[in-house]
Amino acid sequence: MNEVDELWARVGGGDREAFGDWMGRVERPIRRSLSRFARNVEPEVVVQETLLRMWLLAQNRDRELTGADASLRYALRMARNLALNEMRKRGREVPLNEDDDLEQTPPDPPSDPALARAIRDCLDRLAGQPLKAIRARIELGHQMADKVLAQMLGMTTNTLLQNIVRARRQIADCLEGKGIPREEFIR
Amino acid sequence: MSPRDDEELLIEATLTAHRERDADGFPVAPPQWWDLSPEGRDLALQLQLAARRMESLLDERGWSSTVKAVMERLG
Repeated sequence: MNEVDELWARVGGGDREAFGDWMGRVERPIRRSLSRFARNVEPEVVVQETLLRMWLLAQNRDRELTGADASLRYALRMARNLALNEMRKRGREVPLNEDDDLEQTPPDPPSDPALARAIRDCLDRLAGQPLKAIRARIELGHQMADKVLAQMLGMTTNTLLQNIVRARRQIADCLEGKGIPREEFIR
Repeated sequence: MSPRDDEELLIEATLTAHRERDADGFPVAPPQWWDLSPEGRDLALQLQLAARRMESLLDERGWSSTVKAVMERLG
């Protein structure tokens, strides 16, 4: 049993922390798998809904997933179906034969401590409004809309976004200076 | 502001993990996403991947904003 399967087995017992860790390992492959839909369906909504439904599935004792990477494969299929449903709702043409690469998407590798240190170092080099803006987004962005973050920081929403863009650019430049290409983040 | 800058801000607005909900509780796309060009939507996905990777690397548990947003929804 691999780490993702072990985490999933604990999720079935209602272990929320294990579910958080499981999501951390499958979120990226799920999001990547949505690239073919990205022009018609907003990926974040599909990723979040997929993950939430996987939690509900895990709490259903009648539905057990078996086999290597079964939970990841099921989540990929669910994400694809949600994306297709969204396209149908909007009357978009639905692509056929989309099963081919579902089985080939590996879970995320464990964390990369060296890259994490480099990012922290680059973040520490930011100053002023860009630092405040990106920190707020990283720390509170999952629970607060940008409009609220902007109000907290005494900025307009547009200024908040401009500052975050500036911060990301400075971090990317800093990382490139450390020999870490921008593409490293987009794999 | 140039059109390119404009699209950059629209994309940035889609990189937050915060999503409003519809009447059924389903998360909805930020309004800015609908204003993006097809190429802008492709780029938004790539930049979402990059943003979530950075967030998870900065988090002690390795949880991105998406993971945290879903954890909040578990109640």
